Amino acid sequence: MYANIVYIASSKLTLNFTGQFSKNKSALDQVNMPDPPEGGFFAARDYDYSNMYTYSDLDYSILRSGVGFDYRFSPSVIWTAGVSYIDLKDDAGGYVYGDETGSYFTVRAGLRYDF
Amino acid sequence: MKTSHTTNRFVVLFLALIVLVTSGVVRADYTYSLWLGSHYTDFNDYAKKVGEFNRIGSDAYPEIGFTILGSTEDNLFSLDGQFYDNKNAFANMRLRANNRFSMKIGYQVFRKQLQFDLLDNFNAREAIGKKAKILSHEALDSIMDYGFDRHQAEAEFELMLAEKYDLKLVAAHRFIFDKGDEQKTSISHCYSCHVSTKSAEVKRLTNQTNLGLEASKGDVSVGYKFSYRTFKSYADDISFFYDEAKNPVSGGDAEEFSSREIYNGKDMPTGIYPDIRKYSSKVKFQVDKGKHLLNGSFSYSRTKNDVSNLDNVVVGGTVKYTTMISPKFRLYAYGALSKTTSNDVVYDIPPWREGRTGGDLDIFDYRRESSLDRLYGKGTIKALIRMNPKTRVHVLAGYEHIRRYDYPNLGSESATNTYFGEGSIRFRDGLKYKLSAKYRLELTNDPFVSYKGIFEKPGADILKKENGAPNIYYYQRERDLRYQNITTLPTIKHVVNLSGNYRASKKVGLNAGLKMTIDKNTELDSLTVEHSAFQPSVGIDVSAGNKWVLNTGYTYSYNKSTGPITVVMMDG
Repeated sequence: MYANIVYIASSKLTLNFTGQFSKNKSALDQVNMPDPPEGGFFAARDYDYSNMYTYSDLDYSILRSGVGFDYRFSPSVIWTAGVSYIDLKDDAGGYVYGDETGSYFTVRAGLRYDF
Repeated sequence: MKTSHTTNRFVVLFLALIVLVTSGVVRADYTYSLWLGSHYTDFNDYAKKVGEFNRIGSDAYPEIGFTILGSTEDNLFSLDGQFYDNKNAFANMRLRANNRFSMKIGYQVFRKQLQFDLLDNFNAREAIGKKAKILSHEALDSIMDYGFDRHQAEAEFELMLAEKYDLKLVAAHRFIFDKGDEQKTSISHCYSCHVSTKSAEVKRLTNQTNLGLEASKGDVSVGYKFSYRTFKSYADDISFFYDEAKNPVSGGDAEEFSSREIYNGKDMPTGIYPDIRKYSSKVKFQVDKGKHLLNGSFSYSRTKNDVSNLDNVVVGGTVKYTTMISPKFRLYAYGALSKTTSNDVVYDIPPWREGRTGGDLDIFDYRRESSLDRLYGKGTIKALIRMNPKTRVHVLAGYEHIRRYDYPNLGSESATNTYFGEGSIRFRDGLKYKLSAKYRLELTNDPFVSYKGIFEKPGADILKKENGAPNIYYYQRERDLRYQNITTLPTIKHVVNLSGNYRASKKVGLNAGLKMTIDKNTELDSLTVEHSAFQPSVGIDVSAGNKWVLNTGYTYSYNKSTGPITVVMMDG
């Protein structure tokens, strides 16, 4: 789901808000593997498939949010600033790459001059 | 390194163009925009996933951006660029002068983070009495920060040679250069079941050059284009050590196990990139008679991989005819035909169990036939009908044929035929609302099978020791024991797409949609392969006076697949 808001506070000031949240899950149904035949060359077979279906589970949630403004000092000079925060949560158990949970925060500002 | 020279040439060219502008060669009124700023980024916890295309670091970085734009009726010049940080930057330039010359140049660099496979998910153990085999793994170096910088640049030029025939010379060049580090993994399977990993340098270079001529006279236009593309890795090959041949449980019988392997007990290059050169020529034409439009092309391409000695040739053509039967009725016909051939690669494998009792079997030499060898044909006919000013309908019917040669064995031949049809209706009432519905059906006979007989029934009563050999070996296969063709391709597929937009007032707009796909293969002998995808969405946009604008929405996506699961164990 997502939401974006632009608010024109005045002829000089515009505010913007953005938000997006996504949840992604992927899983196998329980896999019922047949038992290996008894006896034979191998005395023991440690084949346990009971949790195999969980190995490819994916369970991510991602939040992307931001707020910023444009302030027009004059027709040719605009001050822009904003912050954004992106947060990823990995609830799958850390297979393959380990726990991928992480986030980052960015503050950005600058001046634009048109001439 | 050639690439850095190429990059430098682009930088020099950019600077020269700025000089051109400032010297007034492209005469126009210019506007300039300059952006100066900075950003601070702070990463927490695991950054490789959330910051996949970022420079990862908790620090501040200055930024600069610029735009130059100048245009007249006949001339155009634009230059824009952004330096975000040393891993994310771009610049683009566009120039057009009196319709006699135009060019576009662009350069971009970005970072692609690669993750480190911990190899932690392997878990298997087999035992004979107190002796056992387990699958182990190790990282052979401590570098785990993988990723590469991608530098890509494109340039397009168009030069008018003779206005009488609208004769133009067109040329383009593109390069992509990846530089960084990546993870390579190797599996040693004899004395130990051992997976190891180490880092490798990334230096991949893709170059593509196009050169062509285009001309037109009256209703007819023609063109020819030659393309040359290369891909090559300039990184040093890396090697992994492959186990000495021994009995995996007892550690003995070195001679016996050595006789079953092509190589053992030494380092071997692993994960080698292809070295590809592709040449192609394409002739295109168009005849425009107002209500009737005919265009088409004929192409020839040859691709060589010098590492594996593969040689692939594709010859094909397309033709498209469009006619306006009435202002309310348009008809489109499309046809394509191509033939793909690849050379066979011959593998010379040492004799099986050389010098051993019942051995010296020189039976593993083989020709690898290509699954690419095929004749491909496709034809569609589409009608677009405007029922009334508000309603538009389209119907399409088509046929696709793929005939494969010499796969999987020399002399084999198989064909896949797909019949498809679709229809849609779109209703639009000014800006008030718009509704559309589309349905597509595909029926396929004999979809491509990637493997025939992947499963094997127990065969102790059928398989026998050969040539006085002491054991039955894994290479021995009995056709009667094998079953199950493998494919994930469907024989029937339904696609539904519904969408609607409704403007409730000047301030409120609503939209909703549904995409749905269901497919199934009904021809497999013991497996069920089917897929379904379901994606509804809703959205709303609201404006309040001249102050607020809000748009929000929700999308749900559900995908389900049913297919085979195969578990590979150390002893099959």
